[in-house]
Amino acid sequence: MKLSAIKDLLSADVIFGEDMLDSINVETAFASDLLSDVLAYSKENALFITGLTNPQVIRTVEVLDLVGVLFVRGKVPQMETVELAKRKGIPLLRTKCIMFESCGRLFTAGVKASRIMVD
Amino acid sequence: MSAVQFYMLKGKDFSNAGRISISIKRYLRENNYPTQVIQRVAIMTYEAEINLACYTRYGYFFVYFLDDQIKIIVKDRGQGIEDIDLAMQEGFSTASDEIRKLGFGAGMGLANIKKNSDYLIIHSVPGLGTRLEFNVALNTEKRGNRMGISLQEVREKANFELITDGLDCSRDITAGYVGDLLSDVNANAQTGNLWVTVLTHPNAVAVAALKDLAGVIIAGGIRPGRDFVQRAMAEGLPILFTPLSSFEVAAILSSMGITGNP
Repeated sequence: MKLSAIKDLLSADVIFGEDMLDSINVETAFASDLLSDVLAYSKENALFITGLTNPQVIRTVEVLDLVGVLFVRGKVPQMETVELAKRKGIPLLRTKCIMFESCGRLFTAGVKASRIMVD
Repeated sequence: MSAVQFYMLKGKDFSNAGRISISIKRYLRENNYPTQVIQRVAIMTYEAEINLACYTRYGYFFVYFLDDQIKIIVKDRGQGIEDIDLAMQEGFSTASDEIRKLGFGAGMGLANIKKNSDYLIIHSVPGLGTRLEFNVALNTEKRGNRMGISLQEVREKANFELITDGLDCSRDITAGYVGDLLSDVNANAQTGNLWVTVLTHPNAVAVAALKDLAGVIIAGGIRPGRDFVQRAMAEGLPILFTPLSSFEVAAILSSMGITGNP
């Protein structure tokens, strides 16, 4: 599903990357507020769903080759985070939905888990 | 292509933590390493960076791009680890609230490094610092021999003078070694090494032959005498000569992709 469709589905604001929304296809997602868990368990090309707002979110996206970040619970990323995302060309969306609701809507719309369970 | 990379990170520098792993990742990508290898190296180095930022005053990264593996050594000056077994357990963490707010300190860092590495060695002195060594093994068949460089190529590229005229220089070099103490070279140089030294005494030839070295570069500009050259000829040991210092020679060899012994 396109990022633009995700934007509509979650009534999300686009913080950065408006022009990328139609070109990025999201097939899988990983939701977590623990960056170490994302590093340990997410696979590449997933959308990262989080309530964290610091620049390490972007570093993690870069290390893992994730496709973008969806901030949940209305969290506003720090200015430094947005600046870094701009430099790296990583799209940022923000929704007021809580994490559970965000994941539920995406799952219903066909987005799959980046990893079903940990070993 | 440089075969060793070096980085430094200061403690508490959370806005820069992550840059080292991205830089290593970019290098691996440019050199067409397998995606799996790149991913594993990036995750491990990133966790190590976060650990440096969280728990140390500063730390260093040494990244070795070897024939058969990528080896990473991280040394820091910091609080050290009291109980390594405990620290290795998933979920165990001594992280402060500040670190947890960043989304770290979930007690996954070292476990994550172990999971992604082919081996992990940890030495730590509480109150002083920690040394991590970990690697990712490479499927060497697919990659070819990265060190695969002969004395002949070194001689041609660096324009060193061969003073043992006519000796065969086609042997592959296994690594470089620099030293001016015969006992040290005797103890630490390995078969096929290219030895850089300022020694011009014939005993140096004897040690090089004994250790089955690939060749010797006489640095520093003092040309060895006849007895030295004759002995080398007799041993079939190629000797290169250069007026450059040992330091400069080592830098040149390194830039050709020759590393130290693993």
